[in-house]
Amino acid sequence: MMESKALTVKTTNFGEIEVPAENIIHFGEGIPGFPRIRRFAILQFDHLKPFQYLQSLDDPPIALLVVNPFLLHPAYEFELGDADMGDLKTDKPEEVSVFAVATIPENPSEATLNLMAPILINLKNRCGKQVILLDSHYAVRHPLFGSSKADSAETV
Amino acid sequence: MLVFTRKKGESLIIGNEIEVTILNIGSGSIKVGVNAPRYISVHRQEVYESIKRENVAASQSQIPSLEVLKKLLG
Repeated sequence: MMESKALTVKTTNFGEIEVPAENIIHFGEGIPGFPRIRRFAILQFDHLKPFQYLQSLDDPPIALLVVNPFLLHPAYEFELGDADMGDLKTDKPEEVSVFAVATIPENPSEATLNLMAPILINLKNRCGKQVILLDSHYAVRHPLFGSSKADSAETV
Repeated sequence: MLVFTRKKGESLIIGNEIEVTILNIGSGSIKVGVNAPRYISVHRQEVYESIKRENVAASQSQIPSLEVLKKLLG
């Protein structure tokens, strides 16, 4: 009989959750600001789609709201260096999932997306890394929808 | 913090694999070269700091309500 290994984690936002071993993503160096968090999982909630949460499985049990940046910015593009592909242990871009961290402040029309440091996850071997793009013209606080939509956004 | 005084062209060796060289000294700024293995990333401090700050801010944000999501995506 196969032993199912699941990790039980007490989270800040979602109570106690169980994460199957095959869903654990390993970040070798953590992420800037949280270098000691080595394990994360992607949590999906129907009512939050297309947003998802990158949930820390170590301490502190933080969660970051993330989204596929290409959904909101189809023209978004960047180049990955050999070092980054090496860290993700792949040479196939199609094996990599891209997420951008979203920050939603008090006024939601001021929501931003970190396009300068996307989070990359190798789906096959569950390796992850937040990559800081060099020579990138994208901002850490890029308007969630880009300037045109922000101009026409309704006031809250 | 370890402090060294270097002249143009001189270097520091960090660990066994990282070399930092002063390439040029101008008025107000200097040009620094870094030789490191590819698995070690090097960034301007203020860039790294801004990513760190944004991650911390995002980790402290509230879960968006249905209302907020509708405004964002609607």
